[in-house]
Amino acid sequence: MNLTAEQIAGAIRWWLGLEADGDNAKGNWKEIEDWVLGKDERLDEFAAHVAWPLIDVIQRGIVQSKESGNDRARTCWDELKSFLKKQDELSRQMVDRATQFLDESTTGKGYAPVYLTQPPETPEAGEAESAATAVDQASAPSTVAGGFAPASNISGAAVLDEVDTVPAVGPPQPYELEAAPASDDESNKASNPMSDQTESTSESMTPSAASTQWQYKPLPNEPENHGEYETRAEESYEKLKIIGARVRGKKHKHEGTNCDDWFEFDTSSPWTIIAVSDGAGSKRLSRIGAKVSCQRAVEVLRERLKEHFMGELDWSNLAEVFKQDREGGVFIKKELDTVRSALHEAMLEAYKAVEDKARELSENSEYTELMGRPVTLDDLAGTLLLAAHTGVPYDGKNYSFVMTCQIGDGMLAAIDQAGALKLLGIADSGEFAGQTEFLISKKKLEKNNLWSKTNGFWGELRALMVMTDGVADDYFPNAPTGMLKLYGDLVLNSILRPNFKDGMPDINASLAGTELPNPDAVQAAALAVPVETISAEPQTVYIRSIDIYAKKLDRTVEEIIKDPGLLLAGGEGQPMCAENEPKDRLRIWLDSYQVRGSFDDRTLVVLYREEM
Amino acid sequence: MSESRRLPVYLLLDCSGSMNGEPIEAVRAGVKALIADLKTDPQALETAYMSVITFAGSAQQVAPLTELMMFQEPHLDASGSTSLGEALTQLEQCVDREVKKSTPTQKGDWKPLVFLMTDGQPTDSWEQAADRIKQKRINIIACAAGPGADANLLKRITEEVVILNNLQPDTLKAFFKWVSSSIKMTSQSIQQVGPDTPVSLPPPPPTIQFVP
Repeated sequence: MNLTAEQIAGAIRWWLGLEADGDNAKGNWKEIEDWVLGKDERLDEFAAHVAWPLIDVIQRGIVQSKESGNDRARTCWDELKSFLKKQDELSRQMVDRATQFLDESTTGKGYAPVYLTQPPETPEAGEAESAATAVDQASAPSTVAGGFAPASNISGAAVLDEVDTVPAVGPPQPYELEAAPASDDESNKASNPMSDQTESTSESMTPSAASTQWQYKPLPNEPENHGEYETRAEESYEKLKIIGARVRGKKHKHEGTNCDDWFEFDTSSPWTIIAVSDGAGSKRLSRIGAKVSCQRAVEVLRERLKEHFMGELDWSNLAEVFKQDREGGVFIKKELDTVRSALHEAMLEAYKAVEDKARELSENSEYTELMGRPVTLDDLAGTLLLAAHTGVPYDGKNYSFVMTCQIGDGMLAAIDQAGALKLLGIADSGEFAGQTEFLISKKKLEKNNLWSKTNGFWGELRALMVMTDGVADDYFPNAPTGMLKLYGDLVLNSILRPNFKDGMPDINASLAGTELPNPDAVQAAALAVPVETISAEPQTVYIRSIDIYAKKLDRTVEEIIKDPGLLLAGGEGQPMCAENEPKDRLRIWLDSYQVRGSFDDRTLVVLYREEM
Repeated sequence: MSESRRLPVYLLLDCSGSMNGEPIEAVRAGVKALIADLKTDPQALETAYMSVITFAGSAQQVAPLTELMMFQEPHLDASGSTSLGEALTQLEQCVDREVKKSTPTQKGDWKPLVFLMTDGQPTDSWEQAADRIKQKRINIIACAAGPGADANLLKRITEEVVILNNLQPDTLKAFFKWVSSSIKMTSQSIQQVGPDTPVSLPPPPPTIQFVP
């Protein structure tokens, strides 16, 4: 490290969030960070030096004073910083001690070890114990971790000196209240997590605490990377809109690994074909299987269906149209059975394409080197969801026919003009979470299994949504209202427009009689909650949630979905983001809405009717 | 938005008389360090829920399944015998009561992760409880700590058995550090897996050996 004591002091000041002098404090800090993380025990020593004055203060109970709001975990560090700003002597000491340590150690002058309290008999263990005790005595455990990241790093580092994953030393994040999509009351609790012990599992709380620790790492340098994200928009044969987006999950961003999801769609014939796949998270190359299977399935369905017409079916008798020969695993009407057999063939062909790809990669030395062994079919495991849609005019109106098939988790759902939901997918339910099926076993492709996962829809379609588990799980249970909420959130965040089948709705009439009786009241309710995205270029996005809107209106989600006026009113005002294109908005929304414990890749394709 | 899936983590700690003195001190420090370390990991922070069950003359859940942010370390004291059977029965009851199963309308929790540490031979009847808990197919890592513990006996509870050669503070510290890494790794790898995929654990430090 080639820094002067002045430069080090400047960088440390910057890191501590103090007024930084020197022009390259941030860059210098990076150099210090690299050096500190370069050797295991350095971090401990460094942490101990930085912490010493702080621990001393904490031990004297200053943080414990009522004014500093000791039990408000999230705000503790902020308050400590503003406290430090007023404590010239203390912050000077912290800067000095850290500077002295770094200066002396890097210039070979050697340094004197510090102990957090009196040197104990066995320095290492004693130090750890007393460090933890010191922090504990002075503040509630939640304070240490929640709002006080450096301290938790210190205790973590000092005690667990051999931990493989070294706690990251970085500039403390601002501990502003990060807005999870939550109601006002929940947000209030979030800022004061200890205020209500019985509500301690409030959904909005921990994402905020943890969100300050989520990091962004770019894509790894691997062959066949999936891009950071993907968006696409087209128009179908019947002038329906279709948009799709895929984003890399928080977990993959944090670890600097690839997005495993993929989607494809095709609108080149009267059949709109959609394929969505979620590569198994436990397999490093599953993204390749996801892509190959989507591409092949769409290709097969396009070829098989492009000349296929649904003919003159009597849609007034749905039971007759959808009549099945269960034992044979076929629909009686050949118009439907052609679609079924195309879907099943697409599944088989997708499997074969994945198998071929696995064989190809197993002979590729680059991949063998990457994996430390030849690639196998297992490495390309993934789910596959397929949907085929076509228009079927009936009674002078535009009706839709949809058939779907699915292997593994994720969801397909249709919402009709009346706001009724039909799930076209099957929710997985193993004993414990996360046990799903993948497109790598021939057994899953047996006719009976595919037949049991085939679903149909006929009606006036408002929206058909196909998604990976990363989205479906956030709207669990998907029925009776989960998927309606998803649709509602898409409309409230101005990704989809509410459908004005019967002309422009009267917002005032819709709002009258609700708890937000006019557009001004809706604006005053401040439905849009700011959320910071985790990306290379973070931005603030304003997210709305139909759950909150429904609560504030005192209406059910179902009632809102049925009323275009209420939907329209809820999306007015502050736009979610600067982007205008629905596909871009979809991508940004997928990238920013927060649900605790949700950090998977998210992919959603929506086929929808947008007409005035 | 819906409820989140949790990763339930149970620590079953032997607090019998033989743990008195340095060993129990090291366990206390270890639990403290474990919690502090997990709180620095965003995935663990959003998913891991901790519980502590101690066993000596009897067994007791001294800390119910609690999210990390709210977790209060229980006070641990060492005295009495080694009621392993009762501890396993407690664990079974806690899992039945606290861990949510997947149903079409309920979001199930992730498969629980259990760390069992004992330094001696069980003093109660434990075999039936061991057989029952093994059938639950939850992820249990059992640790035979020090010369008094019997690793082969723990094999009846789980396939994943590790040995600590002694009860020195450094050895116990290393064990808890490894537990922390294991929880982090599990919270990072919770996602769809095929049924009955074994839990993957980080390589243990030299002072800890897996029993084949």
